[in-house]
Amino acid sequence: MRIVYVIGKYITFPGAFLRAFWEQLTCLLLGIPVEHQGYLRADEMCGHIEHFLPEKASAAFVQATAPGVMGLLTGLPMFMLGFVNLRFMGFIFGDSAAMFILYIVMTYVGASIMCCLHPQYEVAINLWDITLSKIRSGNAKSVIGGLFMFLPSFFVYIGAVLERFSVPVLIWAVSVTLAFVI
Amino acid sequence: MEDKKYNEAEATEIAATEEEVVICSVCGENACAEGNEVCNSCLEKMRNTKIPFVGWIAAALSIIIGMVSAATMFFLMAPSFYVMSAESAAKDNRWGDASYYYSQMSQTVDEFKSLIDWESGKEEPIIRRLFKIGTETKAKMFEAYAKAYNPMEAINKIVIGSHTDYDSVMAHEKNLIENKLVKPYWDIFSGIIYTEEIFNYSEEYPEEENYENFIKFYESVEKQAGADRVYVAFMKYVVAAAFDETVEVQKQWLDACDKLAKESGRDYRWLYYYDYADVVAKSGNYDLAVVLLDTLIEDNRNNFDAYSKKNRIYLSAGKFDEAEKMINEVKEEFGNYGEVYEMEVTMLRYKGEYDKAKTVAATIIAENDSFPEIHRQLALIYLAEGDYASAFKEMDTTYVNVYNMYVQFGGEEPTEELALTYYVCARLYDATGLFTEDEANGIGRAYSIFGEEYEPQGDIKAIIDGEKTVKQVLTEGDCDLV
Repeated sequence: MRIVYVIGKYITFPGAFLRAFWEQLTCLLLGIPVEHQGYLRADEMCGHIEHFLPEKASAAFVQATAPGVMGLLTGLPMFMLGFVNLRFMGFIFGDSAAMFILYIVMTYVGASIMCCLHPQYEVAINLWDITLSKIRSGNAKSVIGGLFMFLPSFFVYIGAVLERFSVPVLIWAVSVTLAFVI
Repeated sequence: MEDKKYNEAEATEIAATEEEVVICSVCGENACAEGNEVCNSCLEKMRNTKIPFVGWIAAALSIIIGMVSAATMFFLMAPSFYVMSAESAAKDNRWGDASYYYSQMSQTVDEFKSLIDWESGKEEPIIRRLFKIGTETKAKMFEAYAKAYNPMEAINKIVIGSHTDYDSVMAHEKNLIENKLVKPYWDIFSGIIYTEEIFNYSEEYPEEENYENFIKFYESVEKQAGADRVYVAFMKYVVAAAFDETVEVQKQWLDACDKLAKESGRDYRWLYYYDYADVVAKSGNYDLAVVLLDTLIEDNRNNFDAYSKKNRIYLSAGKFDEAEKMINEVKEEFGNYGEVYEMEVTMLRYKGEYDKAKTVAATIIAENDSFPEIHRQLALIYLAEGDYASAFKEMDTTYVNVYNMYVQFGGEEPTEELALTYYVCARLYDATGLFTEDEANGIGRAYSIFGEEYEPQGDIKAIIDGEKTVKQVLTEGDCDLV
């Protein structure tokens, strides 16, 4: 499935590149060692950076979710502005070529960022394991922390699994196409 | 922490003798840090790996664009929801609702645009250009207006808009005119405008204005290249109706209009279907009239004019049960719309249930007093009861309100039905001589609508000449003055 993953990442290269950047920035801020920083590699690390897995729960949580949150905050409005103008405000090439191209680019870049919100599989597994171990620990403080982390960790885990098979790319491509057709 | 350094030979020796010392897998020189596969020096380097410059640029751009997009999206959310609602209504053929949502959308976009200063004639700032309704949505908006009201009105409002001449329209709205939703109606519009020009500039315009001369004139016009023959046939009907030709003659022209419209393959129903249904009903073919109106209702389920006409046709035919059934169905589908109450009041008046009609009218007037027809129906009830004073007061207040709304706020123009009912009420109340000075002004106002030379026709003339009583007119046949 590596080829599917790499194709998906190359299709959404602006999002993959930005995702890798936010990952590296998070590592830098958290002091997590980075092993390899190639942003757009032709392997399963494409769109991510190779780094040590954090052992502390808070670091693991921030490392797994913060880049996605940054992607969501920048990608969603970008996508929405382009998409709304093309789909709902009915903008066409003849109205203004420059604005039309801008909206197309914004829709594409926004969607590509939204396709790359999740961390690599190992990072997600690490967070999920930490979350479960906290819940099972029996220590009240840890259990509360684990419960707080449970839902985000679950979504991160599911997202990372789907992203391994480029499912988000497919979902976005189909949804956007359908929105224009229906 | 300082790493202890070994050369290759030492490292191999140590590895063979002291199993607990592991060499860094990255540099291959230092002993690994505790619990790690790399040495502290490599760990430190890894922790401070430099982020590529292009990454910073990309991230900064994404944040800036994201923030601008988020701010703009805040303003575009409301228009988008209106478009979604309009599209959903359009899918159900509720074109009245769709046009309402589109007008709300357009109004909201204009309001946001007006927040950004821009002097007309200068280059429009980019931020203003972000609030623009594109051609596709404008075309959908046009379709909604055309189906809810009238394609010619839609062209005037959406395509022509504030443009003052043809060249300006063609220069700025070419994309819209070429759109597949607009093009067929634009072609009809162009044909009608061209035909009107032939009317206006033709040397054969009749010197003596009578029915025969006009028909001859229109026959000469329709032979000219480019004339819209459907429109000319319709104009023949208009002339026949204006000169009080028989229903058969009027129907003959509308039949011709219908035939030509079908042959043209274009949609002209908006032009003649209401009149066709009226004339067909007058000729006694109530079933065909209902079929014609049902077609219009099928095209636009919000078509309350068609429902209202259908209601009148049922009532004139004495089919009260069918009228009641239709009103209940409309009520079920659209809830308590004012137009539905309007139909209910009319039905109750036809049935002679005046008290019930007054109660229903009072209910809707208390809730939403924006339906002049309900006041007209109330006035007719008072007239039927012989209470001319109440009838006049009802119509005086209503007519003045509608007229003021029309003049001051661009509301709907008072209808001919409203004006004629006002006139009759004034004539009948005038005859009693029981009016006050203020009311005398109102009576004068009613007379002035049609001018001094106005000669009433049909049932109104019969009432004024004393040939029929008001009650007779309001309880027999069409049960209405107009």
